[in-house]
Amino acid sequence: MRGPILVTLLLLTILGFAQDFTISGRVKDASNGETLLGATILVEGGGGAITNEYGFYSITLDAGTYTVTYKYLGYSDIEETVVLNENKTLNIELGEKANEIGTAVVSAKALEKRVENKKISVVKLETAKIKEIPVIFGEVDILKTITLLPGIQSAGEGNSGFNVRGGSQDQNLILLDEATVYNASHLLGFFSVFNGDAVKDLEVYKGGIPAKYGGRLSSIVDIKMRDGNAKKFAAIGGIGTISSRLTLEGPIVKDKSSFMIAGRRSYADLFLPLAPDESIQNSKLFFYDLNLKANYEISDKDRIYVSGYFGRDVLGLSELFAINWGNATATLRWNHLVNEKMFVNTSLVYSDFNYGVDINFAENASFGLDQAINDIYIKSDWTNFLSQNSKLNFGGQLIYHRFNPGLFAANNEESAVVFQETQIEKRKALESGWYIDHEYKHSTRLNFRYGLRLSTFSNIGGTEYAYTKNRETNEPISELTDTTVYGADELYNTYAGLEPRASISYNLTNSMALKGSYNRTFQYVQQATNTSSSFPTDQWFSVNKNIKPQRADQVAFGLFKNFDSGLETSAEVYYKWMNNQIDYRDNAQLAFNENLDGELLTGEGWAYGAEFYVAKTEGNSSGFISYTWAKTMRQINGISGDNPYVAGFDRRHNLSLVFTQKFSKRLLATASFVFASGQPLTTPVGKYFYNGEWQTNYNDQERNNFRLPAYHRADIGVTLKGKEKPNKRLKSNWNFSVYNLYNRENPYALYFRELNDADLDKFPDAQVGSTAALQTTLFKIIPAITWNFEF
Amino acid sequence: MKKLIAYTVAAILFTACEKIVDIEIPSEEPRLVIESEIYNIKDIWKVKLSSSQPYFDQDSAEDVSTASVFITERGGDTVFLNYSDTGMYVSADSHQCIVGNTYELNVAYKGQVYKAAEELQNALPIDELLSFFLPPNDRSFPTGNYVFVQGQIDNTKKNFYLFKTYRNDTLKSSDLDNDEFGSVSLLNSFFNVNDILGEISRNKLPRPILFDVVESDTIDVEQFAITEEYFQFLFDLSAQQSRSGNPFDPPPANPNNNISNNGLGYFSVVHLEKKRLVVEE
Repeated sequence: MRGPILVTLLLLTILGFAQDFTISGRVKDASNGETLLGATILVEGGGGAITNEYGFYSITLDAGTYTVTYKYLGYSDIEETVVLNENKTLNIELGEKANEIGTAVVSAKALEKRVENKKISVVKLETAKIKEIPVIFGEVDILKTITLLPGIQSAGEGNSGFNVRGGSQDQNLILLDEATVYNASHLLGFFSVFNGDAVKDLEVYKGGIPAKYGGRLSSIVDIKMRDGNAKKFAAIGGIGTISSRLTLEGPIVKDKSSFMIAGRRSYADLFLPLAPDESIQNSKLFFYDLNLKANYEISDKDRIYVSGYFGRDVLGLSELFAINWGNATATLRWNHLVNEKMFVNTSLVYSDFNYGVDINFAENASFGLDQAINDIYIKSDWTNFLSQNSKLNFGGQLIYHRFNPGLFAANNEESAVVFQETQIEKRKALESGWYIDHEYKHSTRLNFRYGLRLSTFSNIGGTEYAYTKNRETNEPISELTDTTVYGADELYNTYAGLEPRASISYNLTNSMALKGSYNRTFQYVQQATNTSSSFPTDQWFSVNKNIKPQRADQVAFGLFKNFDSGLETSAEVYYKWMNNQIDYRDNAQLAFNENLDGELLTGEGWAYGAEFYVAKTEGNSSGFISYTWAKTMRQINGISGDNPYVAGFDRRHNLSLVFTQKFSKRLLATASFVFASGQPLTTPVGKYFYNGEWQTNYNDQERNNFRLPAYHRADIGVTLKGKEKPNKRLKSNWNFSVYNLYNRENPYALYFRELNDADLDKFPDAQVGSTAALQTTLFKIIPAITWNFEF
Repeated sequence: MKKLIAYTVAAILFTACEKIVDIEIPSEEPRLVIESEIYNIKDIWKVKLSSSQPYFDQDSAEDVSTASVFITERGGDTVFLNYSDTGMYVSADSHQCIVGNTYELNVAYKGQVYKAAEELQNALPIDELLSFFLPPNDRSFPTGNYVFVQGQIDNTKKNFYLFKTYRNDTLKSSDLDNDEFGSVSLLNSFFNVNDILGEISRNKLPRPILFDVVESDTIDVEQFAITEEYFQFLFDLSAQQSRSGNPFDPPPANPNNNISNNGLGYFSVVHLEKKRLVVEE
């Protein structure tokens, strides 16, 4: 792979000698010095550029005099006249538009531009949009918000996971400042791990994934943290009934270096002793997290960033059971300008996710289970701004994975007698990705982006097991046939995959565009789950001799149209083919199983759907409607009698409505409604009496033969801003919200069992010995109040 | 305000409510259910037959009384079983299974034939059933009366056991054991029974089969040596039975059994050893 890159580099150097000049620089927010990514730079007479994720832009033009306009959503435009007779650096600071009621004027031109800039199958939330997200529980939750958008389905309550276009939850790559976040949920999904105050920008790729990204099959969620205010010290925070948060930020060296530190803590547990029930008093349930970031501008050409995240959740049910889990990430980045056309970022990244479970049945039956996944990687991403119509991206990354599949240990001496300490063999692996990607603007009507990614994966060291396995019938493993032990640093089982990526956009008119995309993706690290919702305990594991990499091919087409009235609309259709999809065999044994591979079966998957979106983004009344029709299927020999079956997370209809109304400068209200078809479920088809009790009889020819009742819910929120006084820095507001306004009892789980004497306490009318269906509901109506401040 | 906060918090965390719901789920045609265990000990052979029913049907299980049932010792005699009552078919005489021989069950019912076969496993006898009182000790092992089994493990093959423990004729526990963890086996084969206090001082406790027994309790232990298939069937049946929506639940499915033609239940041939102990001071 080194060869082609070298050739490309040479080629670019030669191109650099052409007789033209370059305007380059960074675009920042005038109020706090944050770099603005995705800001548009327009050159009068055609042409332009968009700032990259570090706010950098570069435009190459013939010598001459130009009027250049800098634009960013929610900010006032700046116009500059540039006499171009040499390479120029222009760092621009844009100011926020005054947020006054009744003054929102929508220029037709701005709308036209937006349809052109919108990429197919990509969802983008910029700073300005994040601030406008409906607030629930006093906080902005970006992950919850994206599940309202077409093609991204919430995995349900008690879960901040999501499914993108027929992909399972582990097929989403969630990046926070380039570091993988393996588990994005707090409080079992009540909150996501992303603190809205610390986030600058988020992009979700549902399809048309650029070659730069890889490692997951279905989607990329790229989240960037804010850099911190480089102009002045500031604090943002909120005190609420569920959690509180505080962000401090400020310059270290004015305009050169800044920091941000943001923390959150939920404190529901502090009030548990007030509960009447003793088992609740002894329970624990809380989370905390911390985001840190600092940057330093060494020179015009070099800038260093350090960022990190640390979060932890603790859940304990009386003395009996406790689980804690959390992510930790750290990113060190170096932005470097090789010249005014060549931008490079090199990063060193650390990411860790681990959990521990403690079970105390008795004094001599107290034990724990610990699992972890831990990555270190180095990556380098290069961009060459060849001309104003052509941009070349290339680079690579190396990831060193370490997996601890489980340490089972007694918590005390009494238990050590009964439970032997067992460490399931730790695993290591090396993953790499190399890419080249070209963005090309053929004309004002036609744009291309195409690229190629090469990914590789190798296991390192350890023991490899071979099983007798009938590949045709896909029967679960029976006997271990061979064991090979590799040296600690020995690479083996190398897989490689070529991943072509392409997208095309054709502007039919100034306000209407037709777009298409294709991408192939490979996935080498995955998670198996037996439920449609994810738990922190679901194990991450890599491919090996027995489990092959997953592969997907996706095509998507979309029509985008903006109307003069300010309405933005889009419709997209997609089809996705998936190979080597995994699911558990019938009767799989999941708890602490050394040979988990043996419980998994692999087969085909396919998904297709249509997505519709209508939004009104400007004005006092704004909001959107999103509807998705989707179907997700699996066919795996050995499951469901070899018949195709609907995936556990298939939801046929998905509808979201979000409406925001500004009543005055101080009063804002949001309302939202979501509807989703019920989750598939395997129900009994009968029962039989055996071994002195009722046993359940399933239809082994049809997995997921039933659907839970539909999920629907409405939420409202009202924000009342405090009076702003010209001499006071403090700004504040009160947020009142109600989750599940009409108290819908949405099913979280449905299960079937024989009723016993203990059930009489809860259900006095229960007939002991009869069989019944029981439904649990997680969240009924929940009011919350938060006071937010900023100074 | 404090009360309001407490109320809100409690509402959030513990509104997780459970209720019995009335839903309609798919149902399949009734299937034949076979329940039978025959032993190495001379006894009347019994087979119980019933019929599966819709999940929400609240009637008791329907007995099957019109089947014809026989058991054949492979390469040996055929024994016919006659209907007595409550779905039970019994042999006229007592029979004894022999280690290493295979027994085949044949049930003809409503024009269908259901077959199952199993081989009788060998098992070493239980050496001892012991109890001892553990006084307060510097190892902080819980004080009390322990009952444990000791026997040797047959190292020539993989062994699968079901232990049933009765205290004063009441079934207290039913434990599956496949001596997978070696010394952690219920058979405690590595534990020196002649030096209990010495072993405890070395931080070793036998894996008890019962704890907290009192003087003059009668303890019975039945050791069933079973086939790997039956072991797996019982294991899966119990895992399916205790589903609670937790992440370690197996996918919902019927356990694999040894009955042909989609019959439910299991026909098992088991090696039974019994030991009794009356707890003394």
